[in-house]
Amino acid sequence: MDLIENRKEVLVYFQSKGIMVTKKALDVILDSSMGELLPKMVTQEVLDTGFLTENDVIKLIRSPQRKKMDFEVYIPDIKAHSSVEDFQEMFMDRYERLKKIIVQSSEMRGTYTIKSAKKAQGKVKIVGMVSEVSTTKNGHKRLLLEDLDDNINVFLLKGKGMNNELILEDEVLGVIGSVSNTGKDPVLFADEIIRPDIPYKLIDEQKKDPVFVASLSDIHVGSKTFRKNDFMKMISWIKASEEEASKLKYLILSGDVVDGIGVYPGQDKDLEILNPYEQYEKLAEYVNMVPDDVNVFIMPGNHDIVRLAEPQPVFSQKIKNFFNENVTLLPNPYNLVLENKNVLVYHGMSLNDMIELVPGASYASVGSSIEELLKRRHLAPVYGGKTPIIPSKRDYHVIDQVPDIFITGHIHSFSQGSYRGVRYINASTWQSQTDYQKMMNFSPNPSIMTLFDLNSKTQIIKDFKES
Amino acid sequence: MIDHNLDKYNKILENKVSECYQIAEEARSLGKDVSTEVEIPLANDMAERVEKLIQIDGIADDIRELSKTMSREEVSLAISRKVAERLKDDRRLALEKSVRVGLAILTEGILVAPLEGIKTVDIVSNDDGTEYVDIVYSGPIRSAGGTAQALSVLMADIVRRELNIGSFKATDEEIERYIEEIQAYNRSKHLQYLPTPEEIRLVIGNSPVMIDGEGSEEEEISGHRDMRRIPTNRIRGGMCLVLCEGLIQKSRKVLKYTSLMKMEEWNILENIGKNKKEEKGDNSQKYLRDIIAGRPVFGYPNRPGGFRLRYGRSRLSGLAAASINPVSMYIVDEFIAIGSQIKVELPGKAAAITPCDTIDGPTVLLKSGEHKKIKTIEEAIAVKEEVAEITDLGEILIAYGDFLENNKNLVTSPFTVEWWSYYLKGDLQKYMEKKPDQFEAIEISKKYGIPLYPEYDYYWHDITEDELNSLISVLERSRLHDGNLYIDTDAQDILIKLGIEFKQISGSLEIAEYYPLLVCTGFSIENNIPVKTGSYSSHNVLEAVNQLSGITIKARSPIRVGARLGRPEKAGDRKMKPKVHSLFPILNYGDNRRSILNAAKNKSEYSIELNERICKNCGNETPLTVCENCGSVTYNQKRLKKMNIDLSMVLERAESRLNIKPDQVKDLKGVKKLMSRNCAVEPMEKGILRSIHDISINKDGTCRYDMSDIPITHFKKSELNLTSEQLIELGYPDRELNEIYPQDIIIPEDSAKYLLNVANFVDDMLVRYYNLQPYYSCHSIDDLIGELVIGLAPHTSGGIVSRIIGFSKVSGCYAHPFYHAAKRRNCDGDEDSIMLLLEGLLDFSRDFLPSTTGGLMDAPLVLSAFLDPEEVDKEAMNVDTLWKYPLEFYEATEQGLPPSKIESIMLTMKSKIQTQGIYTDSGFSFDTANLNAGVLMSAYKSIDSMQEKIEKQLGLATKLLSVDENDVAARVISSHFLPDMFGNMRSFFTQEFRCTKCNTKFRRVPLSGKCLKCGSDNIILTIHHGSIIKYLKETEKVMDEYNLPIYLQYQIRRLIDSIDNTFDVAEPVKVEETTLESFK
Repeated sequence: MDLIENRKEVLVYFQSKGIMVTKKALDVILDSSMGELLPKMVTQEVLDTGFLTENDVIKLIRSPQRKKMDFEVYIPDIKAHSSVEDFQEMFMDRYERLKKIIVQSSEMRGTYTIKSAKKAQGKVKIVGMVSEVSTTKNGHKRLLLEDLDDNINVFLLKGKGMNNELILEDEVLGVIGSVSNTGKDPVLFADEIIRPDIPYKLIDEQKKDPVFVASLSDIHVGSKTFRKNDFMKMISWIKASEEEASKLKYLILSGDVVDGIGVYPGQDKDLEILNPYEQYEKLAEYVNMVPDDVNVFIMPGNHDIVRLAEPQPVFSQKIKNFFNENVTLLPNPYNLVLENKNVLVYHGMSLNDMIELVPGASYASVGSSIEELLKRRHLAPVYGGKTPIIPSKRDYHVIDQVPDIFITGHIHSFSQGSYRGVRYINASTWQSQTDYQKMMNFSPNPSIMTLFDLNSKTQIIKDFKES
Repeated sequence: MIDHNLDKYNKILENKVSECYQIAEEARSLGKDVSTEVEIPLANDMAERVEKLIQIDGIADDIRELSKTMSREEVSLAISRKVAERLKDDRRLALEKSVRVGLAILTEGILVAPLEGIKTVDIVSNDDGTEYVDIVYSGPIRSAGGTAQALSVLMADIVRRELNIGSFKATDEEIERYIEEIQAYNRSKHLQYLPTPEEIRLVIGNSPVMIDGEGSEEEEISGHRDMRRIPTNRIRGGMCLVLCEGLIQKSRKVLKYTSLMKMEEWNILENIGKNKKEEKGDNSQKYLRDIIAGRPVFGYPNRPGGFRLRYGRSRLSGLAAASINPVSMYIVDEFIAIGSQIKVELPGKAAAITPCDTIDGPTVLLKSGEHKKIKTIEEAIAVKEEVAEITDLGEILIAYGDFLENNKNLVTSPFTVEWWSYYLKGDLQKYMEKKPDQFEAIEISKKYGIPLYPEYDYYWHDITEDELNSLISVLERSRLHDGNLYIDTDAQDILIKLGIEFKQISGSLEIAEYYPLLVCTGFSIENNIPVKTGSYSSHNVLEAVNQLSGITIKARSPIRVGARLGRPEKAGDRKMKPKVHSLFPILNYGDNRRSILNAAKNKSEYSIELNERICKNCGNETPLTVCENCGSVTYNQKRLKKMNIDLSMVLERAESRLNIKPDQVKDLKGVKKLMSRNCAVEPMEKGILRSIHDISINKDGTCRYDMSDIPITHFKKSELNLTSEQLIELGYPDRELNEIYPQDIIIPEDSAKYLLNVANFVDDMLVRYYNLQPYYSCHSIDDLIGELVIGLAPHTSGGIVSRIIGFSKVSGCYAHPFYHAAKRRNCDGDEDSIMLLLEGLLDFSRDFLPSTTGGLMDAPLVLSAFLDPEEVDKEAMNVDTLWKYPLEFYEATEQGLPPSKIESIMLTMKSKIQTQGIYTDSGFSFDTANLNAGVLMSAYKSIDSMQEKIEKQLGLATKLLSVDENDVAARVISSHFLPDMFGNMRSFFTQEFRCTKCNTKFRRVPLSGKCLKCGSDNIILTIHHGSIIKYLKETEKVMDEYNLPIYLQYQIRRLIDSIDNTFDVAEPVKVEETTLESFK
């Protein structure tokens, strides 16, 4: 990023992120010539509060800039309390934040609460969270929509062709339609469904040298089926300083970096390393071979030795100590800001649920499921399936920031695509077909590294599969 | 075939049955019930039961006729064809009825499978206009068994041909769906046989009918979804069973019939099983899988110290029940009670336990250092706290018939007195009665060359040659004093292994029974000093002692039967949850307790859709059988209608007609809504009377008492406290030991108390509701002796009449093996129910039965008054009836012969009927003093806290020589605790929510936090933090105290860490260092 030196440019920069800057903070930034550090000030914490204070800035001065970037990662400290309120607050937060996005759409100006919509005549616009979806005898789709204090039945009529719309439980959507008061309770006949969705966005091709971020996932070190040779080949390639490799600045490992223990019954028979701690040591042996000007990010997944419920925290200090200093640990999910670009990383447990719900989706073709997540601006829209989520005041699965790149894993397939300018990937695994996958008749496509250029639409696929 | 005294017995039953029917018919004809007929029809035989169950008039005669010359299976196929021919004008009906009737014949007209196991049989059109047959199976098909399941497919195929319906042709994608689905089913439910994908492809690809099922499991398949011809994405359990455990597993049997019927398409089945491995493998560990917390293991496979096999049948065993000495029940901390199920290593999977005090009890090492056999219950109780180690659990008595039934090769019999007695000729015969002392025993063995008397024959097969040598060297240093032998304490462990009793006396072991020990190890006594005289050359210890002693010593107890506690025994009245007195619907007005009295106060008038009836007198429209306005009876309009109920009036009128004051009714519970198709309402009067007599109602309108099944073939007058008059009146000769009649039962006293209440309820109902004479007039439980009940098992719909002849203190129903077999039960832990005959006849109605799948199960749709041995489960035919097993038997065990090889000499029920024409006058080989002698309630039931159960379970594992306590601890944790905690942890985050006010469940908490139904804000969690950490403390404790495999320790630490990192609740989960750091 170019050096920013005037007051206006700084303010414009933060405004684009929805962040207000206090006067004192602005003074410190300009006094200390911190223009290059602006992206680092946009932490999750700052995004959450919407304010940048003097303290946020001073933190950065006190840690002197090293050659390689030292990433501050905001790690939410959330615990469950065994209370209904936690659950309720999480869904309220989801509702409110997604509603905020939905009402930005010009069609959704002037929404009603459900309570007031029920008393209204004619056309209304509401925003609600889906509680139930069913199909009536006549083939219409019926939704029960809730907002914070009321609920209403919404019908998507077959005649209007709306009955085929994929509606997921617990997604938040806007409805434009007409209220009917003829029955006992008022109902809404929908004309249009408005999703939070991703705004169309053009990738601004910057005429700059490429900066690559590489995506790897589901490495499963410790398993007998971990593809050691392929992985080693990949590390050697990075070290080789070829043209492309030398432009590699970031390496993201999006979960299931080791095989873990006790994930499924009888796992011990499939393990080469029984001690989970030694599994991470082994992983570190590989990762520490990566040149230290490459920033490595490691996120946990469902196999890793952190709690299963999402958001998953970063690994313990003990595990962190295995790794060199160019390694940064991430919670799952996490929105990384690299070179002023949003790289949303999520291991992808909810894809299991999505594949069952999205028509035509399968483990071999997971792209449509990923797009359905983006449309709903939520990483795990359906509650109650196979994705455990810690209830808390904030819903960490809402996609606030529109990502430039969306990285997932978990499925062990390899597929990539682009949705409204968002480049997405289900990253390849580094594990061969397991017995379970064999039984499920699923063949993974392993040992592929994908490199995204942060400055262009370029993607490079490197296949390290041993022939 | 029926012998004379059974004629007399049947006459007694017949009179009593018709008496009850007459009264019930008279009462029901008054019109005060939902129907005017008694709804449990009597059926004399299988043919009649089938006719009544499937409701095809006149088919019984055809079945009887064909049965004269054909086997059951052939009859079923022939009748199936016949029915199709008869009904061919309605092809769909013809198909359905013919398949059901065939299946009913195969299941003796008792099981519910023909009704409930097949949801529909449809004729479906293909895209090209051709048609095919689609059989939709559901879960209850399981009870039919593999062969019958497979034959039902053949029936559909046969009938399809007769009706000119085309054949099914599966697409490749559909076949893949079957493969995925069957594998998914096997993961959650476990199939007896999991076919290979090739086998599935072969059968589905060639089956001319579509083997289909309703989506019975919660789980959905993940690939191959939304297929046009398979409407559900759920797993179809019924289909999986019929295909895997039916057609494929029983392919050889099926082929027999297809070749008989010349159905060549099915020859493809010949290609099945080529890869099927003979299920020989090592099955001995099977019973140890899925150890359950709190249910102890008694022995590892064939490990010394465990139950020692003994062959024979006590008067309380057979038909999958085994006997142990009552003292053994006490010594295992009372975890085994009479009627408890244990899972066993052999001959089958499980057995119910009954007492037999004429076999060996346990041996223990006391804390004082004394090693002794515990012979009485009193002694067992007295030494309870003093037991350091249980070195031998005593014997387990298993009948030959159970080996035959399980087709389990005989294993070497221990050398026992029964076997020894075959060596007693001439002079020696006095030892038949009198046990020889240790000196006599050696003397006669030497003199007559007969094997050493079993009691002095130790477990030589359990020690090693080194141990034998060290024993010999210890004995060389031993001394005799005052009739005891004193030896060095070094030999303690060897003596324990041999089963020799000793005491610790000032640094030495004192042995009273020393002579056989000395002789067997090659010593003789000269001048009161043991002198080594013998030598040996064999490396086999048993052979070595034969050489050392110069006499014949046979293997004393070569086989131990590994076992663990299975399901504890059961006896209790059937209560719906929550308890219900009346099938009267009160919606949500009675709160969670469903109190009719509260509902009448809260909201007396409400409207609800029910079966409409019209008053004969005043024309009033009502759901009631007796008009609430004028008291006349009403007509059934046989349709549903929304009607108003004035509950307090209904209640008031019912009470006044019964002449009962409102304050006599303390508590009266109804149901929220009716589950039946017609929504017929039970008369409120019956509910009021049930409430007064404190009995609850079952879903079918009857009052049930459930009990474990246990066998008895002979009972004692004294153990039942019967008077001579009572015995004679029951039709028995007046003597101490009597063979029990096949339909007589001995019920627990608790059951009798319950039935006494039911009898009084019936009398009250006859007098106050029907205005008839009372029938039972019982004042004490003794008055129930001679009364009839209906025995009925779950998964069946045919009851059998039985007669109460006495009471026990145990939790189980003692009855003749044929009676249990008539209900399709054996005694390996099964349970079923009884109801008072007249109560059933008065109160049962099909109109009450739930319309859901399984609704017809466990309902008395037909009743057999007489037991026909031809129609009981064939398993009972394998019960052996000898008073003493012959020498040839023991010789056969030494050769490991299949039991069927010697069937002809073992006088099983089958051979008895074949050769003697009767099944009465049978014998048993071991006596038992009293059928109540033993633990009456398992500690598993009497101990409340899981913590204490587990402590006892592991404590017992530590005490038992036959059990590896570390392995038990590991198994309990990995198969019970960890899955439970992990499961709950996962479910916590995807849990449902519940409104405490109206009980509505929500998939997700409503955004408003208020119930979407009733608006209350009492929404609660359904899974709490508490259920996640339920076993955490126990797990940690066990991890500290036992030596667990390292991987398991990692898993436990991982779980604790994970819980710590997930929850922040008031009480800290764990304080000590259990972070990941402790992995190293």
